[in-house]
Amino acid sequence: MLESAIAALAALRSQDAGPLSQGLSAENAAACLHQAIRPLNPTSLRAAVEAAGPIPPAIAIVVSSGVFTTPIEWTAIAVSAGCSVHLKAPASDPALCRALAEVFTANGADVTWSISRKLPPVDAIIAFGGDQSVADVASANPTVPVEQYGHRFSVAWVAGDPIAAAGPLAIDLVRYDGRGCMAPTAVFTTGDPHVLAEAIAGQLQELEQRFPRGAVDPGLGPEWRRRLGLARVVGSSWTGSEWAVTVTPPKYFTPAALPRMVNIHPASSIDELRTILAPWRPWLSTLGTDADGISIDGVHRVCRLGWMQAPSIPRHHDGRPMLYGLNRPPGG
Amino acid sequence: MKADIRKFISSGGDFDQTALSLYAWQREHNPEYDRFCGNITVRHWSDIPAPPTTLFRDLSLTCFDVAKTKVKFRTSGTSAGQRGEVHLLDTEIYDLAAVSHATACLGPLPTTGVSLVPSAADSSLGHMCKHFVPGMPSFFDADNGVDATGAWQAIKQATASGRPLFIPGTAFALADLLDHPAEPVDTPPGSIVMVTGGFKGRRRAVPPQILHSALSARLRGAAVVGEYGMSELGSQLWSVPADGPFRPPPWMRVLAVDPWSGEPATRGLLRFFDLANHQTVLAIETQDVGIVHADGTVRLEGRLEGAVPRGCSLTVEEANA
Repeated sequence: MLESAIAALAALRSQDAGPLSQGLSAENAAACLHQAIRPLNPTSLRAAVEAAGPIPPAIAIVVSSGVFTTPIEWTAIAVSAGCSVHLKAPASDPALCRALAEVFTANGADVTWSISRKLPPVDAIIAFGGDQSVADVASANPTVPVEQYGHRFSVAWVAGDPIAAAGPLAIDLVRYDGRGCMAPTAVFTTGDPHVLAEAIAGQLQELEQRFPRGAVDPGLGPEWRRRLGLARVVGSSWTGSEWAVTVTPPKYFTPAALPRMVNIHPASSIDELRTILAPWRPWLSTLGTDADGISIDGVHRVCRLGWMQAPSIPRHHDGRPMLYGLNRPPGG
Repeated sequence: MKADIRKFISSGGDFDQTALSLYAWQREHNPEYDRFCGNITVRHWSDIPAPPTTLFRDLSLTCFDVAKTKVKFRTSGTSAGQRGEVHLLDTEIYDLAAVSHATACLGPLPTTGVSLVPSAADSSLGHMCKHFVPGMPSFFDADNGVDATGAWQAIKQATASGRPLFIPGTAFALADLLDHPAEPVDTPPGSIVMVTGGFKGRRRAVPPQILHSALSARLRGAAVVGEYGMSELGSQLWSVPADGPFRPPPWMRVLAVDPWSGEPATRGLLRFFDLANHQTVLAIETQDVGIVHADGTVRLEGRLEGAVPRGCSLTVEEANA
């Protein structure tokens, strides 16, 4: 079924990404779709299938809203392994799941979709979403193994040239407008945070023309104003029409991303960052950095700046190979 | 400035002019607020920058040296868990504003009562109720909830005196009180049941109209009224009866704004401009949504829906918890 997956991905890549993207601008959606499909080739898919080990014949993927491309790689790997896949699409915007099912089905794969919470009989479930949501999926399906991927967040660490770091970091901030667990929620730096902030601000301003910000969740407005207001009082801020950069002391670190707002915090050393992140260890995902040989307890993935939102395949997700262990007993 | 505010509350005045004077005074005496405002131009009270209430978790926002704080009210935290603090030098204006507007809306306040609101010293709600009816026994505490048996017994005993009763309670505390199988009580004329707060973050929720009807049926004769207030506000709004719109005092204005842009909107996030906030910041932006009617009254519609879960990232409220 590897050929089916490759053909389906090619068909998906030719589609207009805007309507599939849950509100991203057309330009950003196209870039995100391209970025998500690019690493999926015969070699990487074969390697991912091998890394996954035995995969049961029928799986369901419960997809959360936010990062619209999330199910693409999982579905492609599962189909490449010969599995049938059911996509439980987010009720608020099922367009990508519908398109994914259509292109895979048209190429001979067994991929279905629905917004119903009631899943068809499957051998295993992969659930994305809030911690409570994925736990609820597991509770509602006690007879099959449920791989739960709940809340995670990512940060960036800049130890080198801030000017060189700004461009790649801005790409990480712009892709998906800060949605998802791999988006940088904050940037920590040993360098001059103001130099970094100005450099990122310049990059964001430029990228705004090429990849406009999409629709924003109005509910984030008060938090946007809180962080900007706080920065005016205890730090510094730079704003554009669709972006903002703040510099505040690290004690004000908030591990939740806002659409194209980056909060920069000075840090004296990587050990200080480790201390800051220690309480958040269960929720850490990715560290994007320009430094070599960095590790932080709880961080599952360390990558170069500019690649935070573009993971390679095969890869681990939350510390586990994708689709690994789905043959285990329920609840195991 | 305090004398000006006291005078306004007691005998009225030009709101816009007083608000602009207070704004200028607060920028001069409140360095954090001055930096928050930056270079903005303010020509009308509605232009005055309104810090989000969540900023009280990070900043004291006082017009005095915070080390001189004499009274500290802590915010409820609602669903986000983390609590902010409001620092005051004294409660003179707070108390004056509370009594003045409550009396204007409710008539003479009862002098006896039974409380179902928090009695902790850092609760602004508890402070207000104790100021209304000094010595009022409380049958609610944060750890153990409502002592419904004790509360009903106290209500019956107090009723026997024939004096009007004041029974303030949070909505969920009053719902718990109603769960207790006590006989209805005929309250003395002039009695008031004050309902405040909602059910956000609670496992149960009772629709307001059902709660109000049930209170009327079990505490017969009492006026069931609504109160809206918060630690960050020096004044309260009252709805009489409880299902009606909330009426702000003459020294307060309310503005609905678009939650994302902050621009004025017919329905939106509520910003309050309260002259009684003279020791902190007169304008605050809440996370409550409502409609401001032409007469200045406010229809509350509940809390702003939290951020839509962003993929598998933490939501803002969870991260702030």
